[in-house]
Amino acid sequence: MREELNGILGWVDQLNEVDVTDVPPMIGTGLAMPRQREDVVTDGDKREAILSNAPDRVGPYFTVPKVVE
Amino acid sequence: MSSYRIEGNTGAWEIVVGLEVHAQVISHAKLFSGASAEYGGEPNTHVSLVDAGFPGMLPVVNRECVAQAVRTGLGLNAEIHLMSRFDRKNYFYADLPQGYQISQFAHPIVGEGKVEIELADGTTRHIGVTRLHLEQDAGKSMHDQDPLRSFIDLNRAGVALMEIVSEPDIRSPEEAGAYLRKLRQILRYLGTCDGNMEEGSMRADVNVSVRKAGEAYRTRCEIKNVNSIRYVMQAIEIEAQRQIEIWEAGGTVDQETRLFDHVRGETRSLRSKEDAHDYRYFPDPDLLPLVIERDWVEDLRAALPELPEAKRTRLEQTYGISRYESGVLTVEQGIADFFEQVARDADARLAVNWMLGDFFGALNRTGATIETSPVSAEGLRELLGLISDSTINGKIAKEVLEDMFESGESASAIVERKGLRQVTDTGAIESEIRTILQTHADKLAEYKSGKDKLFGFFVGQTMKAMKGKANPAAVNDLLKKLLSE
Amino acid sequence: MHDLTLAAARKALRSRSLSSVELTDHFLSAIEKHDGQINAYITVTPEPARKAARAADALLAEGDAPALCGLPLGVKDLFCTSGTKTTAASNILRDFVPPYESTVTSNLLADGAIFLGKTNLDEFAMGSTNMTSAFGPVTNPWRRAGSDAKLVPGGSSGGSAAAVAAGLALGTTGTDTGGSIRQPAAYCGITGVKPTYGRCSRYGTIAFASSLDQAGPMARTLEDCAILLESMAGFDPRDSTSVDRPVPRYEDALERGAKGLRVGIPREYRTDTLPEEIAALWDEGIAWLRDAGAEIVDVSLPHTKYGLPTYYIAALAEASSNLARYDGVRFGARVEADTLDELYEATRHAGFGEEVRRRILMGTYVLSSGYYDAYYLRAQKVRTLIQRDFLSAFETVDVLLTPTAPSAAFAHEERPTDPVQIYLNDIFTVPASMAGVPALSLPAGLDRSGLPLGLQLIGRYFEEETLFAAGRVMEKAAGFTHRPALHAGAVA
Repeated sequence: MREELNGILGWVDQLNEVDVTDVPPMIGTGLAMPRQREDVVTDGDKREAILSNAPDRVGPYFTVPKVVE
Repeated sequence: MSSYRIEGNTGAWEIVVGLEVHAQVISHAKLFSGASAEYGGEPNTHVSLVDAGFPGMLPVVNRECVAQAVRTGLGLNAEIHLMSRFDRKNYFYADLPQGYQISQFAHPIVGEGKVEIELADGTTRHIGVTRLHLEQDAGKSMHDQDPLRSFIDLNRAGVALMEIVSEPDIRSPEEAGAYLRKLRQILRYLGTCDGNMEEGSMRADVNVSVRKAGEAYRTRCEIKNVNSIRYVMQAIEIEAQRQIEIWEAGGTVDQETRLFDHVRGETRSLRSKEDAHDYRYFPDPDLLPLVIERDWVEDLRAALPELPEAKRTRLEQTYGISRYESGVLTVEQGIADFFEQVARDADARLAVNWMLGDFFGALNRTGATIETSPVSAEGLRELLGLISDSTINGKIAKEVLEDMFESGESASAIVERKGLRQVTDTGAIESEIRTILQTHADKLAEYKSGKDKLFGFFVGQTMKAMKGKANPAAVNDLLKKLLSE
Repeated sequence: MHDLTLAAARKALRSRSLSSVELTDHFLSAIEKHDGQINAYITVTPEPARKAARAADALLAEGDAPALCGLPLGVKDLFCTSGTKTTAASNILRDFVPPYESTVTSNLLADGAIFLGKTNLDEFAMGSTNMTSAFGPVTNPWRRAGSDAKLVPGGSSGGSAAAVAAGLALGTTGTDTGGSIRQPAAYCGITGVKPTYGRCSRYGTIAFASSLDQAGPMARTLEDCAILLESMAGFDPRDSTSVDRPVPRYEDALERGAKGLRVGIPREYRTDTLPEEIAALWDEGIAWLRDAGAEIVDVSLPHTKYGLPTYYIAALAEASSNLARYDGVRFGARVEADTLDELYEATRHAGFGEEVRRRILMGTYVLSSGYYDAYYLRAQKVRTLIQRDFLSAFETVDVLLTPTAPSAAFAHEERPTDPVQIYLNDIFTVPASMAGVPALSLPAGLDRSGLPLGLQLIGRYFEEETLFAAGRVMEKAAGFTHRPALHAGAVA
């Protein structure tokens, strides 16, 4: 896979030819209007839905192998 | 500039400290979802599918969280950026559901500001604020419930945090403590964070380095997640000591992340710079740049509460109180409000003395706070009114206040119930004095032969006979008159 | 019945000459009979479909039926469907049952559509051959004349394209990140529309590259696509990138004609390696529009050649982050391990296929510290230049006409082993995705071996109606009535 990755990287290197001086990075199409939600609790209290796909759970919790801190 | 130095074998060392404070934003809902941001709750109940990072779930920013960040920025005299941006900070951890934290890396909502701190010797300093940005909190891992597994609760995942980064301007543990207290005071005044370090709603990462006077900065270490002001101050001292020992032994300090263990009184390495995560920050493509209107910022500014410094100055001017007194009265907004209710159109001097003296004493003794005080501002005001209009004297008032804390009754009710009304009837006082002078004819003779200080003895006897209720001024006047007969 | 368009079926349901139950049963049995050879569906949901059909018939009888009432559709298995397995064609989500419905499928359900099942795709929509699916490749219903070689349907919406082409659904939903609707539509001889970025909500659609992903319809005709898009599209406050604009009646735009329309022909798309017959078909398309009164204008999109590398950097970077959530903790497959790091590694190694892992690695690399500026930031700047190319072209023309893909469908075993060669399939579709402008592909003719070829129309932001109008002129001129070798009618 390393060889393929190098191939892909070599291929994308052609972008170095492009003069991007003073060009801003594109962030979105500029069409959507900035939008913010109201500070109202509209969600939550759906523990069973949240846990319904858990590959391993104990009671109300997800689990992972013990993390030693 | 602080003169704090640590003496090493090679001379005096200066310490350089910067603080990154994570302050939980007060809001109803989370930063990017409609789940409750309230502390507590049954495990995994304050969680939406967005917070749990389910496939296809998308963030939408909470306006109030943005407003809280702006208010805080204004309170820190900082520049507000009308355009900021959310980036993804990518790393894997058990309590980070999306595999990245949404944070503001390249373009924070608040830029440079400053905090004025006051030290014990009365001097003040400005500590620079580099920036404030919004980000998501992570969930919680519990490691002590099962021998093989850690349990994950996502109730905190996605709650809004403000990260407030200071300049490396702090030069002593005392300054660090003063900065944190001042910051917490401002946040509480603004109502943007409850500042409760025990519940983790305010935590600090502490960057510490040491240097000889006049040197450039040396390598710093970051002490993660210190959760009390006292521990921050201890950790700085201990970490500085450790670094000085390394430098003086000819070693070099490695840039690394460390943990503070307050039980063992030491810091220890968590991970070195080489193991540091590469967070691969990039703009979150699920969110647009955060654009806010100047007018909205000005509306928020206009609606800001009076902040501690302004309040202090005003209290000093309005009530003629000292710098020290204004400081104590403005530690919390609730105390200042309480004071102003007590002192309004009343004897301000009496109000200050009583609040700082007996009233705070009673609060401490009963373990109450200004919010939970059994005696209301109105109640205290009534008590002080009884002193001012000579219904009771100061000594009796102390007794009444104690009773108010215990019984919850009003001052006047207690005065009536216990018959504590002050006696200003000169006839009654005079007859008591005459009896005393007869009983203590020997003392009277001594007094007349020049032993002036026996005057106090006669005052005491009179007050005792009057059960403390005599008007002290009237007692004085009558005694003077009768003793010279 | 197999040859009904969605529009014709809608008419038949309304006139009660056909019931939704009959129609739904027809498609379910066609799937049962023929999908073994095509593998267009990952999951078929006969029972819920029949139940919904009965309910639809009741509504139709009352005469107050919503727009898509009783019409059986296939849903790309990238849209989360509440209570129905949603896999993204990945082992890591093999058993994932979302407790929520995507906005696009909610809109379709609200309009009365019947879901036959979930269609196959490249794993996490990463591919243009549909060979990276963990549920096996999809076989294009088309065959080369005189050959039994199994051909790819294109991708990533290969199952959705093949299902429509083979008569296994009236229409399907697709998603397009760099051509994933248009390229398989071209390979399978059907029509597919990628609307303006922000037109359809991304809420509940499993993300590949968030700044590019856009849902759209795939169906036999432009009219069918117009009907479906009107239902799928719309503002969604749950998607911060959704655009708040009214949804027009796309059907009403179909017969506007092309008179006076200025059609741009981007010269950079006429590459040296473009096959002669595709170039010829393109010229034919130009002639159709000119004959309908359009003005043909030569235009330049100078940064076209940088579209693909830019696309791969942007898309893979976003994908590497979007796919971090599949960690075996809250949902999806998990490989148990002793430590957290081992759990992640084992789960993700077992759960993701090779192409997905390759793309995550690439994406991680281009975002890593020290490379961010050189790759990701630079790509986003080039993206701005690509966007400017389109904006400046659209100052002089109304639409652009190009081929959809540089070749017809190829055989499974002809799939190049070099990833870059595969990526080149998207060369004509990627630039519009980068800019976020709408584009569609319609079947315009057959190549020498009898395989369908598509032409692409690209329009201004939110001017899908112009695309439908110009496309309809070409659709009529092309008169594409060919049917693939494997077709529910023909194979019966």
